[in-house]
This record gives sequence, structure tokens and C-alpha cells, in this order.
Amino acid sequence: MNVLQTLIDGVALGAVYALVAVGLALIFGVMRLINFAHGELITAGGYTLALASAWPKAAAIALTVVVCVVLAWAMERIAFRRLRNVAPATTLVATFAVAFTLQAVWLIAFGPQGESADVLSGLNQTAVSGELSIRWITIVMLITGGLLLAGTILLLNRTTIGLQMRAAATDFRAARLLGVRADTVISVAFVIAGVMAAAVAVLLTVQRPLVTPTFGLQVTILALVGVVVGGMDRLWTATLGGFAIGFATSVLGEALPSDQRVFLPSAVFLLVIVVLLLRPGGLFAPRGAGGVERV
Amino acid sequence: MLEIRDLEVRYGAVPAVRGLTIEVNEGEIVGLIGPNGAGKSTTLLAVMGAARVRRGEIRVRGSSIVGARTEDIARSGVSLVPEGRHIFPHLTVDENLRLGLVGRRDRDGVRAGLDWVHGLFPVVGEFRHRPAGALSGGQQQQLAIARSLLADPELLLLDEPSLGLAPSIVGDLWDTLGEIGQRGVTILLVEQRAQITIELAARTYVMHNGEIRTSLTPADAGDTDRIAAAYFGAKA
Ligand SMILES: Nc1ncnc2c1ncn2[C@@H]1O[C@H](COP(=O)(O)OP(=O)(O)OP(=O)(O)O)[C@@H](O)[C@H]1O
Ligand SMILES: [Mg+2]
Repeated sequence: MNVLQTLIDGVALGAVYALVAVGLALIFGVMRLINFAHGELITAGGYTLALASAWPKAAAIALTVVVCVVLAWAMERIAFRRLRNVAPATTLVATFAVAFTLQAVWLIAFGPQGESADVLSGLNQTAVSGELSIRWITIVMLITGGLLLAGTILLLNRTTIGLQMRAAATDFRAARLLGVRADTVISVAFVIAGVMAAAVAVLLTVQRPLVTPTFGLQVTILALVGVVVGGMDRLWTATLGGFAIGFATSVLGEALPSDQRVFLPSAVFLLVIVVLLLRPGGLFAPRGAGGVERV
Repeated sequence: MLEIRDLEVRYGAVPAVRGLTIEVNEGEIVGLIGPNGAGKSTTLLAVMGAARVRRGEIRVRGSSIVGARTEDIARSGVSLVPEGRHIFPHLTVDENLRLGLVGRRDRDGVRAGLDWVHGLFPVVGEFRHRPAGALSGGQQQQLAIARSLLADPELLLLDEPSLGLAPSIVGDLWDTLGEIGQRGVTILLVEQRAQITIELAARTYVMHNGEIRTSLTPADAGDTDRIAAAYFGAKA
């Protein structure tokens, strides 16, 4: 096993999981909602790619972005907006309801076997061969991840709406008292989450073109674990957490002998438990920030 | 400018404001004092649409704002400096000020507005790139007021701006409030410091247990017995 090779693959998958984490963390930041239904946006993106696989590639990708963004926006508008002032446990259950409802829709519409979203499989060819073997998709994951993360940071730090989102994430009521529109900042957070989900769907289907009803769910559960391990309260710790879980999954996957790959999730979760025992406040939380008294 | 009639607000079954009626005329500074738990903050939050009105009427410039959204009220020329300041500690002083501009109705006077608040509160210029959480309590209070002023409010609601400030600083703050009033901003000032509020305000309502007990004028400022009686609930 080539160490550099393993690292590069790990960073690339980490970048994809970081995008899932950004979608989760932005919504958690502005409305304290753990959006379990985020995975269904990714699944919707996957099916869109499958259905549009005969289209020109750019058009298929553009359609995927549109579908994911519209679905994200509609999710908030239809399901979560009314629940803004209820207890967090209630909204969490509501996100389960949305997730499972959409999974039933996927199952009825597309069946359990899955659809093939074979749009960008050309990216599986190697770009660099020799000592290191790097496929195009690895490079595309790194670039896409980097650009979207940089774009999010610029939006948050350099625009008025970004400033309003940061304010709302710290103190929503104080922000509204200044005239920040709750509906707008929340909608923008969902729209960004939709863009991230579309990107994740496009990137993941290159290596795993088979889109099943639980396509996005698996990715999201893992990313959610990463977000919690990293520290959910801050965007950057949550994003790093997502990155770390993607990285760990990739590295452990390559380290495990192929007949033991079924143990990969167990190995990842074992690692998660160890981390949580050592750093209960979050892997990347500033020292001394953890351990909130809750009981 | 602001008319509150027969206002009732409850938290669950607990009434916090019971049949409150007050009036603030254009250009006036009006005080609202009373002990802890009297319902002063709740009254201001009700004006901002942040506490649900059970009964009664709240009018700004003659039109009812009951049921309007907080952000729409904030964008209509009414600004609250909330109790405990609620500055955004991780954002810089400048970013906090820019958030004040969100509620502004017209963009024309931004430059002049910024100059004005920087003149009133030099500290917000001096520390513009610092995280707001790194300011002292008094400096944070100045920032919170400056931020509200940048919304160019016609009606400024202040909730205990003197809280935690040294007496000499309160004196400066009072001078500044006077200056803001001179500019034509109508002010409703909620306070615990009875005497200096009564001196500053054209009229000061004394609130107790969700109700207005009496109102005092600057002429009463010297009459400490009367103030104490009104404030602590003995029948005046
Ligand atoms: N969020 C809340 N939930 C439940 N009860 C509340 C809430 N906020 C205030 N109350 C109650 O409403 C009453 C009025 O509170 P309010 O904060 O308006 O008083 P106040 O006059 O501003 O007091 P202080 O001078 O201490 O700030 C109090 O009895 C208080 O316990
Ligand atoms: Mg109060």
C-alpha cells in the first residue's frame, strides 16, 4: 500500500463528505435543525442524473442542481417552516418523517434494484499512472470540494446575506430585531444545502453509479456522525468533522483486506467512539469548550 | 408616535403585562421604570412583535402593528436596544454596525449616519476590527445603541441601557440620549435607575406587576419619598 496514494484518496473522499457536512451545519447553524432529510436531496440528485443520463453531460448536471435546490427549498417551505418555534426533538422527528416519506417515494417510483446514473464514468480513468495512480475523479473531487467550500466561505464572509446568516446563527432573535428576515436566511441556507447535495450526488455516482432509495441516507448518516464528532456548533469544526469521517472511511477501507470490507462501518464507528471518549466536546472544538452540563 | 392601549401579554398562563396603556409623542423621551419582573421588557418585546399580544392595541404613527413580524417592524423605523445588549460577540464591531443598516428604510443617509454614530461613540470606530465580544460591557452598550441608530429609527426603544455601567459613564450615556432626542428621535427608555430617568424624560411611567401604577414628571425628581412609594408599590 502506497501511503501517499492512500492519503490522496482519503483527502478526496473527505472533501465530498465535507460538502455534506456544510449542508447539515449551515441549516443547524441558522435554525438548530438536524436535517436528517438532507440525504434525500442527494438521492434525488442521483435519480435525476440517472433519468438524464442520455442528455448532454452539462445539461444533466445543471438539471441535478436545479432539482436539488428546488427540493431543498420546498422541504423547508412545506415541512419545516411551520415548526420553527417548536422543540428541537419535534423538528428532528419531522425530518425523519420527511426522509422516510421521500424514501417511500423513491421505492415506489424507481423500485428497490436501483437505477444507473452513468453520466461521468469517464472520470474513472487514470490521470496519473506509475508509482501513484490517480484517477480523474479524485482530482475533480478535490477541485469541486475546494471551490464549493471556498465559495461558501466567501458568501458568508463577504456578502450582506452571509453576514445576516452569521448573525442569525449566533442569536436569531437579536438578528430579527435588527430587521434580518428569518425566511430569507433560512431559505438561503437550504438553497446552499441543495447545491452541496447536487455536487455530492454528481461526484459519488461516478464511482458508485447505482442509485438506490438509500443512496443519500448512508452518506448522510456518516457525515452527520462526522459533524457531531467535529463539533456541530461551528461551521468549520462541523466541516472538518465531515472531512475527517470521509478521510477515515477511505483510509480504513484501503487498509482493511478486501474480504473484511464488510466491517468498514464498524471500524469507522469504533474510531468515532474512541474520539468521543477522548474529546467529548468535539474533535476540533477549542480546548475547554466541551462538556456542557446538561443534567 | 407610539400608542399602547390596554395591552395584555402572557407567558403561558402567567400574565406579564395586564391592561397597560401608555403614549409616547413624537420627539419625546418617555421613561418606563419599575422593579424586576414588572413587565417592562415584555412591553418592549410586544412592540417589536417578539412577544405575543393577547389583547389590546399597539399603534406606531397611527397604524396598528399587532401581529406584524419582528423583522418588518424593525424595518419600519422602530428599533430596540435589547436588554443585555445582544451584540454578536464573534462578529467584529464593524460587522455588528453593518447589521444595524439592515433595518434602514432608505440607503441615502448611510454615510451621514455612520459619521453621526462614530461621533457619538468614538469607541466603535477605534475598535472596528475587534470581535465585539472583546469590548467591555460599557463599550458593548455603546455598540448596541450605535447599531440601532444606524437603522435610522423614528422610535428608539432602550431596555436598561445603564445596566452594569459605572455612574460616571451613565452620565455620559444620558447626555448622549439627550443628543439623540435632540435629533428628533422619539425615545422610550426602560430603566431601573428611577431618579435620573425621571429627570431626563418628559414623563416617566411607573410599572408594577404588569400594570402602570402612576406617572411622574421631572418636577417629581426631587421627591424621593414619592418615587420610592411609586416604585416599591406602596399606595402613593
Ligand atoms: N420568556 C419568558 N417565559 C416565561 N415568563 C417570562 C419570560 N420572560 C419574562 N417572564 C415573566 O414575565 C414577567 C415580566 O418579565 P419582564 O422581563 O418583562 O420584566 P422586567 O420588568 O423587564 O424585569 P427586569 O427589570 O428584571 O428586566 C416576569 O414575571 C417574568 O418572570
Ligand atoms: Mg427587563
